[in-house]
Amino acid sequence: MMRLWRKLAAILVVYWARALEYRIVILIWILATTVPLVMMGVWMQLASTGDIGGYSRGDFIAYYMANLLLLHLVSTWHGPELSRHIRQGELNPLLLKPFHPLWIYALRPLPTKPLRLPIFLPPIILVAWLVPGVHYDLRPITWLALGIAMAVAYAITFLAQTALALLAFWMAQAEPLIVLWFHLRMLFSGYLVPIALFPESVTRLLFWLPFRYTLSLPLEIITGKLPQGEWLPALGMGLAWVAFFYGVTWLLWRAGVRAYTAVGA
Amino acid sequence: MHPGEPVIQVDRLKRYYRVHHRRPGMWGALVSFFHREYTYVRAVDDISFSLEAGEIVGFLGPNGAGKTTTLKVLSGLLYPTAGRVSVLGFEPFRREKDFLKQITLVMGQKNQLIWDLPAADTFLLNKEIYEIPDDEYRATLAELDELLELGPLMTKQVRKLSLGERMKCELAAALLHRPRVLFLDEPTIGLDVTMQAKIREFIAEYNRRHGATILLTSHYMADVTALCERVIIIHHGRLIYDGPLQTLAERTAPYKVLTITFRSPVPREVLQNLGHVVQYEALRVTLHVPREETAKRAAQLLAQAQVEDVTIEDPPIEEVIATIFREKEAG
Repeated sequence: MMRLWRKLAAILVVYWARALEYRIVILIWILATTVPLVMMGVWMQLASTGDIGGYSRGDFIAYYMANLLLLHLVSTWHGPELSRHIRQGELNPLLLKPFHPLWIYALRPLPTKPLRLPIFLPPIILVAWLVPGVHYDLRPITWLALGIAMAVAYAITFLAQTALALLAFWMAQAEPLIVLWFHLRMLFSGYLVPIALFPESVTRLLFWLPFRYTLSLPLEIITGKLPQGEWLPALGMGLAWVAFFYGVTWLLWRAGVRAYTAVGA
Repeated sequence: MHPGEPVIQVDRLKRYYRVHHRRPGMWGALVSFFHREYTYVRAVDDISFSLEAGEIVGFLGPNGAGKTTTLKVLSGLLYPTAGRVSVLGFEPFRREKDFLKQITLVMGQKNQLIWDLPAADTFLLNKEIYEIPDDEYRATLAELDELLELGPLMTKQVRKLSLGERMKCELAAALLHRPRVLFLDEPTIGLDVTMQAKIREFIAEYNRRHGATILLTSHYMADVTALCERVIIIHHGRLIYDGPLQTLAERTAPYKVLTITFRSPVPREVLQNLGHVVQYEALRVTLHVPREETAKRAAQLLAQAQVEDVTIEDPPIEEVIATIFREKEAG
């Protein structure tokens, strides 16, 4: 176990160093993700005359400000790269190491996550402090639930994208499927619109689908929109999706390495 | 692995690929969209060989002969279509940890170094991934530094290194865990002559110090003649020669090369009676003569002309191998 931790730590250290090599690119990439701010503006305007679907003007601000940071913390975009590595044989050096290659893909994005905090956290704190009606649930139990919900969100995002990328073992182009997943996630994860604002039948359906657990659940928890009594069933469903995608990824990997053609010199 | 068992054992290995074909142009693309045509390419087709501990063997063949495919099967990257493969007593395609810790595959054109960081960072990552104890890591790195003259290269960003410098760091990254079996695929490709010689010296020294078993492919015959006593030649996925490099020419080239310097010019017709004239200059001539009649023809030459100097050699190994491939192509 100790050895595993040492390996994981080594990967994090190396990719932390790599992340710092790209400081300007990271900054641009972070600042380019302004969609939640635009959405916030739209909903603030609409909510100026009264609550919409249980969301006040302050609720929308709290939601989209947290959204801005959480999306970065729980997302990964390794799928297209993994799929390209499979197709072009660049997986070879990783397959030759006595360590599962997917660990590398899972850990690589993590060191860049803390770089988001100094950019997004100060404005979130400032807005919560200065703008009336903006509230977050900051009880210790909420932080614990938020931590679990964020881990679940990252795990589902990582595993679902990995499973789709692994189809590159058999398909010439797995990227369109990853892009399709991305769009569905953007639509149904609460990134654009809080899912409580969908028609009730859709909101009920989204409880059973994976998208809510990739972003909305941590947002619902930290903004206090989900009653504490509903945390456990929601986290349970999120964990069930983690188990499902883990199983699918495991099966695809096992079959995929047998089909691998390791192209290229 | 049982004592006395070969380190590498390949028994009737086959590896086929399914390849998609389509005609060029828009119409070809449209047809292919609705109806895919596939063929099977027999990249490796029923080959068997084995390597004993500490051997350096040259694995030769033209492009597309199946060399790299074989190395990929031996290192566990590819699943064999048929046949049995054993390396250090392991079945490579299972990619067990204990197997991967004892082998390495170096490919001249693909690299494991992290492009944007100094090589030293990849070395540290490998140290943890291969579970190399601190003392052993320091000792191995010092040894690799001495043999490859890594020095300041280790702290320079990989993308800022020249091809040769990068290859040195690639070799170091691939050997930090002191593998017992090395698969080297074109390790000197694209390097200048001096760097090629350095890499060759390094491989020979690593083999001497650690008794590693090495299977090497290279298009540079200088690599092969400097390092390998034995060669395995494959063509279209089939094994066509497995034996000492020295006897390759004897067995496969039916002629010897006579290079003669005359004191005075000799008419071409005279020389044509003795052998095949390959090069004809005023006083210097190169002849190919039947191997079994070399002594007789040389004696005739000395009797018929005023010779200042004569050398009798086997044909260059490149020529021998090229001849073998040409003959195989011609069927």
